[in-house]
Amino acid sequence: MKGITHFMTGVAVSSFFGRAVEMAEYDRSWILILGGMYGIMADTLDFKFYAFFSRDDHEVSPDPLRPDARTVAAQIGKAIEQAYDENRMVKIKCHTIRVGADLWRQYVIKFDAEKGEVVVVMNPIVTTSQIPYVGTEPKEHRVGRYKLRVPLVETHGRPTVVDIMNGPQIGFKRTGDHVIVEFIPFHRTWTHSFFVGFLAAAVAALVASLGAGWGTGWYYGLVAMVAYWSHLASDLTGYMGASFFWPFWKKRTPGLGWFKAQNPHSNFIFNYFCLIVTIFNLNRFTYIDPVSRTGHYIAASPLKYFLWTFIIPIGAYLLLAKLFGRKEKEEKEGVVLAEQAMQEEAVDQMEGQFT
Amino acid sequence: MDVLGVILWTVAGTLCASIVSLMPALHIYNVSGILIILTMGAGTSTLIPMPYVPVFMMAMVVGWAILNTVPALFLGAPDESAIFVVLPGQKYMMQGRGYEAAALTGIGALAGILAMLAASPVFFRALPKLRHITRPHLFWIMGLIITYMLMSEWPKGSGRQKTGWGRFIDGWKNLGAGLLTFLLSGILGFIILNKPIIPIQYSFQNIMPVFVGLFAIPWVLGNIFCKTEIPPQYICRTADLDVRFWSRGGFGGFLGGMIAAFLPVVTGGIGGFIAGHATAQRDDRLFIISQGASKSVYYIGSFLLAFVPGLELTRGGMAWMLRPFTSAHSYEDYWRIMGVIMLSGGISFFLLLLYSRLVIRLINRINYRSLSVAVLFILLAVVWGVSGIMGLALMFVGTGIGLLPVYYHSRRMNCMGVLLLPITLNMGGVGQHVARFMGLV
Amino acid sequence: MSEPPSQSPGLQGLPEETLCPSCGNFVGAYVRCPYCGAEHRRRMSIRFFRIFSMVVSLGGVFLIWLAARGIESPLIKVRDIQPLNAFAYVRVEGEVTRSSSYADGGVSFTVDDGTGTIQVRAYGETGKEMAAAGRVPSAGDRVTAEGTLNFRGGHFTMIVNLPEKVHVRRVDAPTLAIASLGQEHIERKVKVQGTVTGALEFGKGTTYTLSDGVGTIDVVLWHTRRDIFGDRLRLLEPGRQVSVQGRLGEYRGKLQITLDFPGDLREAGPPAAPAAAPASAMAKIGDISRETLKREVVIAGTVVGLRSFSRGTALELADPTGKVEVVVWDSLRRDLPRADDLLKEGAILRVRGIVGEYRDRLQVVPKSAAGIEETTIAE
Repeated sequence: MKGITHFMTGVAVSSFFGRAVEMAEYDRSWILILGGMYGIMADTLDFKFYAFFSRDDHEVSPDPLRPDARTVAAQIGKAIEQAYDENRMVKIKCHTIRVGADLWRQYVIKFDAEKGEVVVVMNPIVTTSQIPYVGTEPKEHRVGRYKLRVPLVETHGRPTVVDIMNGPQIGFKRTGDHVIVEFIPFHRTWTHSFFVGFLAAAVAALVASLGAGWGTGWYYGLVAMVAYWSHLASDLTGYMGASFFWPFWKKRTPGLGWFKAQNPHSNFIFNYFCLIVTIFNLNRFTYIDPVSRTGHYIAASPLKYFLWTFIIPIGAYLLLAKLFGRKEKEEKEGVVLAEQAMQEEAVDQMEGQFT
Repeated sequence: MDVLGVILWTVAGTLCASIVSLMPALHIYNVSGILIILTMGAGTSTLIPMPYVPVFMMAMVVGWAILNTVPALFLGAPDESAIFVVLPGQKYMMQGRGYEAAALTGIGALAGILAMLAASPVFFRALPKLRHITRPHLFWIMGLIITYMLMSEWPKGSGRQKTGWGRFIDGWKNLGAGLLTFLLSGILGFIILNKPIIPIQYSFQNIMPVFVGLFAIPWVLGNIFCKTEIPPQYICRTADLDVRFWSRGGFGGFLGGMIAAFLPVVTGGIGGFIAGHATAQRDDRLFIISQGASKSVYYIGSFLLAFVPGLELTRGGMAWMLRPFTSAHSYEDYWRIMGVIMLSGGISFFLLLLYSRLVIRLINRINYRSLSVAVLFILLAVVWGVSGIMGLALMFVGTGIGLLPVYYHSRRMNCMGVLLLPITLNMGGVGQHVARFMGLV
Repeated sequence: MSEPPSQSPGLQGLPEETLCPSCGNFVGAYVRCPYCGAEHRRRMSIRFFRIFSMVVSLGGVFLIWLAARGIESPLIKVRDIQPLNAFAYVRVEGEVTRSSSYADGGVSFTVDDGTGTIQVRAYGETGKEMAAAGRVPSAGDRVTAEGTLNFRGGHFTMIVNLPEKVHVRRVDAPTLAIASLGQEHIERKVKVQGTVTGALEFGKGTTYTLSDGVGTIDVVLWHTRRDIFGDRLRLLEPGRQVSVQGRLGEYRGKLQITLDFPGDLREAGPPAAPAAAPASAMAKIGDISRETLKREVVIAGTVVGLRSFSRGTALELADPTGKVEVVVWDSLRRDLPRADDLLKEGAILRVRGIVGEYRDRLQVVPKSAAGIEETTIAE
């Protein structure tokens, strides 16, 4: 799930805590912000802290003066083979190619499991805003291929675009008789465990206790913990899974495979549901007469409420998406350029064969 | 109120806004504020017949919401809501497709207007209840928006340092700059909201110099010093999109605009950013359409909410300025103003295409850097004229803060801390303590 | 001789800034050209603006903050306020001609500085803090207020954000007989003396009845103001003789005094005989029913249950005839001596409070700390 989906899920689950909603209303407490904050916390720990400390076995650092896709493909391919031969996780850092103060050479890495090869395409130079300077793609060695001698499984599902700022880390791990490609292998490890959720929430409880006393502080911790755990629950709906039971069981538990993390429809529906649930709960714990705590602004039954606010609108949305939605996959501009380059290369090779 | 009068004042309002929109740094709320003060200071209008005042003002808002894309996109002088259009807009300009980008924002705005029309029954039924439910919770809801803004920024270090700590420090440079930008903007906001920095004769413009400094000047300086060269722009006859894209972008933008219209201080840009994330948009076209819709729905929707029967919600500068002069509205008033929005929206769209052509002709003839220098002088002159030397000082500091995200690669949106931080903390009952801590009491 | 990199097939057409200005070779991100050693000066502007933005933003905000601390708000005469002064942060001085308070804790008052009048408002939290600090003026008081000017409907309002920005010089009103109060006193500050003869809860406050033997008048205290009265609330128990000062208003044709801050409530004599409070006779818990709603009762029993909620504690009090919930707000608990000893399971308490109803459950709500006392089973 996307960051905002985790954030909104955290808010939605924390809104079930009636006392938290009442604390917000009557005591001007900011407790519900913890819901959002801890909802996104696991990814924050991964990408803003842990990512920097994840060790690289190899670094791909293409020459900005003579970018050669073949060299890059070979480096990555050899790392895959090393993972197979040594039967361990091999991590490779794909550095960006900076060619100016605001300019970067974009390249795309594709793991073609079917053909058993790594394909790298050097794209045009782009600005930091990822605006390409059309015509600046290298004229030679633009596409590089490395034929692997080991079978490959690719789980990320799309080519990796490396362009601005910090490049990604890619991990290769032998599993059985093939190598699995793990995009950003530091992600969803110890940070995505119930135990770390508990520890992080204890920090919130401690800080809140310093200000409001333990009698209230523990409640902040409880809200934070449930929000943190909601992140793990929503990650469970994807494919990648996480190390939910770290440190007791360090292996990554696979997800249920219901949605892809970046799927716009599932993210939107999830976010909308969280919004509707949050409003439902705010209504439950907010009173028309706040002194006597009586009366609610929405008097409809939960069934009627969710029918009108969620089931019917989302039903209509899904119907429209089904009827008029885009059938083909949406690709990043860089990936499209790379695909074009690969097609041109294939055409050139065919022409070469006939001339 | 006769139909001809409504049409006449709608056209007049749109044309008036079209002139204001072309002047960088001038904001429609400032201009209409002066207009209201000068012509309605005594409680009744001396220029526009009283019943047509809301019509004229709504047309002004619609015209501005659609047409302020022109200076934002082509001159690089955006306001706080157009800031998001500039980046993908400049990408299009570098490809010679500036006209298409402008058209896409206009198309997005039209989608936003249609979405508001379609959502009117929901406004009538749901918004009054939603307003009551969220009223005691607004402070933490705005706090959530701030939290998400700050937490969703990604580190952008090169990752080439040898040690983990080296990479960490490098990666946190832009995150730190983002936090610093938000914090400094917020402190500046606290100061200008609690102390009379601007002399009282200019006080009606007290926030404008800071906004120009935060949002417009850094772009213009960037254009001047980075020697931006704009390739010849192509005037296309068709836009690269279909109905599916239009509706998706429009829908996302509508959501973002409504978030911004409904919540205090949150601007169309921030609303569009959140809605863009929530609907998982990626394509540049979607982004531009969505931001066009979001910006328009924010400006128009916040004023439109004042006309929703039974809602009694005042949001946005125009609604606040006109609130004393208008009473509770009927369904008839609502549909009339909706008609005004649609008419003005249609006219503004054609004006947007016309103005874009004119500005492109200008850009194609005059060196873009010289044009940016001219825009810089206009901004300085306007700030000097309406807020004096202290206004220039505030603008200078605002520029320093506005340059931080540009040169440290963090989000420009963090500059909105100037209003978001003090007002959210004030609403949460903490603002007074912060003001005391800062020694502003 | 090898060809320069800039002329290599893959690098032709690169933007000018990536080429060395001295030798024309491609230098990419290098600051110094690797071919000829020339400094690639284009970096200067970036470096300059990075430093410039940091220095100007940090230094500028610091200087503005320093300057702002020393800036005094200008004193403005009401007649000089022009429409272009909207949003100005100014100060006004004058006599308060009218003062109101709102259910959400907000306050407003009208200031006459001799050249005109202006309404000054403080919303919710600020209003509450002002009341707590005794900064809510009544009609007749002299006041200095500092805030932001808002232009609405052809006239200005001042919004106060900080309680410290309102300075009040109290001017006591002359004491009047209750029977002498009439329409001519409405919206003015009045002071009366009498005995508290009753109290009635309503949604947002309590109305106390004050009698001086000849006339009676209602005295309104909003719940939002209640906390700041602390111990003084004991003065409003039935039978107490008090002096009350406040704004005279009218509700449904009946005159009433709104009590805004603790200084306006003073003891005026020894308490009257207990007979003055007939509603407070000892009751059995089993006798509490919907018929006794909104009436004051005194009950005694053992605490058999305890539950905390966001703003207080609910006790379950039992005697041989039944059980009832007793609601103790946090504000009241703070004033209750030995609260932790009294509010625990097994404690035997005598509770004086008003019978209320919440979610179809009857409850007794003590209105002051004096309403909760430790007692014995024999009693």
